[in-house]
Amino acid sequence: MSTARFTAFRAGVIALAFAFVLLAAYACEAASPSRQTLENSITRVLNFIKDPGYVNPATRGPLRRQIEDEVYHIFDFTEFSARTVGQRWSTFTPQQQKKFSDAFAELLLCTYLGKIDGYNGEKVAFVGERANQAGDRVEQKTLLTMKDGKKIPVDYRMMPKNGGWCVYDVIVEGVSLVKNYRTQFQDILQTSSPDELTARVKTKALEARNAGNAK
Amino acid sequence: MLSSTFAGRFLPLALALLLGLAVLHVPAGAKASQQPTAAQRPGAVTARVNVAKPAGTKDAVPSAVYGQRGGGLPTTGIFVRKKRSLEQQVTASIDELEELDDYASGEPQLIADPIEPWNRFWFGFNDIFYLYVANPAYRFWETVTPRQLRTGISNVFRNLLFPMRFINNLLQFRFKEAGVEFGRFIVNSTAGLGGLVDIAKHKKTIVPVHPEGEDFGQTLGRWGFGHGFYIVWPFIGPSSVRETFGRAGDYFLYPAFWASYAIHPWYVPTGIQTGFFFNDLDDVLPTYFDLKKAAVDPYIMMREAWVKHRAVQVAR
Repeated sequence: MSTARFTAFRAGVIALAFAFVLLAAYACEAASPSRQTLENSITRVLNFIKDPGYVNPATRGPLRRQIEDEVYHIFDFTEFSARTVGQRWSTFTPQQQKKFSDAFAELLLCTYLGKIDGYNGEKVAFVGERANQAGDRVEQKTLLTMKDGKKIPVDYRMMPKNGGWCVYDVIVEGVSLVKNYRTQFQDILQTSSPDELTARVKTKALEARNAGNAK
Repeated sequence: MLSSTFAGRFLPLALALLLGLAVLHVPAGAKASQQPTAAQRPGAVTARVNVAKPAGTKDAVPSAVYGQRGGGLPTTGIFVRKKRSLEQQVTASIDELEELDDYASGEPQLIADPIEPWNRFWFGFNDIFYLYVANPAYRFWETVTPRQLRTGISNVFRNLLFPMRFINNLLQFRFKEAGVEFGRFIVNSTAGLGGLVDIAKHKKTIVPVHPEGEDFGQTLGRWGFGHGFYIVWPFIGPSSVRETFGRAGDYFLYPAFWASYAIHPWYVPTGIQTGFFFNDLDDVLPTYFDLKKAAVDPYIMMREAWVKHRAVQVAR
């Protein structure tokens, strides 16, 4: 594929990083509950990133932990995990499910949060939403404007959970995070046990964490 | 993944033709068992996204956010204005590919991969090449050239690839888009000092034209051809039977091909073109390393992401 094509792909990776933490949120009275939840959560995260202390790696720690809390709040990693594992999820014991979803969350947080060094003026606009017939699956469409002006569509799939709304998939330029991991995991699970899969995810998360610390 | 003519001048073409023959000999049974690829799905080949007004949607309250329509109760259908920007067009075409489902059904992999062990070998080979050859070389290039120069070279190359984008627009019957490409080429070649400056970049066009442009692989996809199966090429990276034909077709429109009639010996233009591809590696390598870092099985992740990304490009 031509390199020009690949640059958009590149932007997608960065976008995914930002998808986890960054959306400029705007108050909007007419917003649907799912959108409000997303906006509110992200405003708080954004404030952490805009904090001058965040730019300095030495003082980033506590802010980073607060961001992680917020991400854990809005992203439901059990839902993420169930969908990435697919039909085999029901064959996992509850303990295995817990272990797996913890490891997977760790992997996602380490890889993508590590990409954010600070706020560079990225902006996000909510450009629409769609829902299924029952109204219990909503996709919030956003457009992320990078600092160089490149625009990347980032969509958040959301569902009701514990009286609120949570995100269960992020789609950057048409590539679903869940579906991509799902093919990987299904391939691995054909030859490996759930515990082995969890171990692999854990190893990868550890690598990402160490790489992040070394940087 | 990486685009280059490292493989030489005639190699891609020869290989493509060889492969084409191989495909013809795939037994009928084997073909039937192949998974439907993304491009074979109904949405992928549609030339234009239908802008149907969602049923039962009352006019949305204009929100304060960038004057965009937002909010409202969850609607059925895509929520866009009739005159859509480029980005909206992209998201809408993604919707066509992607059902808003709950992933309840076990979705099969996006592309058949009968030669996976072979592909994995070349994936590993490329990985080492990117990490230990291409990456250090590019880092060196970055330190000895200013960013403006690299961007300028990149613009010149983009301008030289105009015939590829133009003809593929025509082949897809997208005449307005072809016109836009033509206009950009003229403006950039003259006022833009032979393409060095992309002054047409921010000019408003009659139809939105994605900067990535069209290529023959996308044309084949638009015509309804599926991928066939997945192939990892040395140096170049992810490809498929269709994309190999696509690349072979584009090869005739690459600048080095026609320049080689005027400039001798042939390896001079080819070498220069390889240099152009190399100069464009800017974001490619970091992206590759990022993706690899996030993946549990990098081979599968690249395969699926690439197929999905191509499907989006074909659809828009």
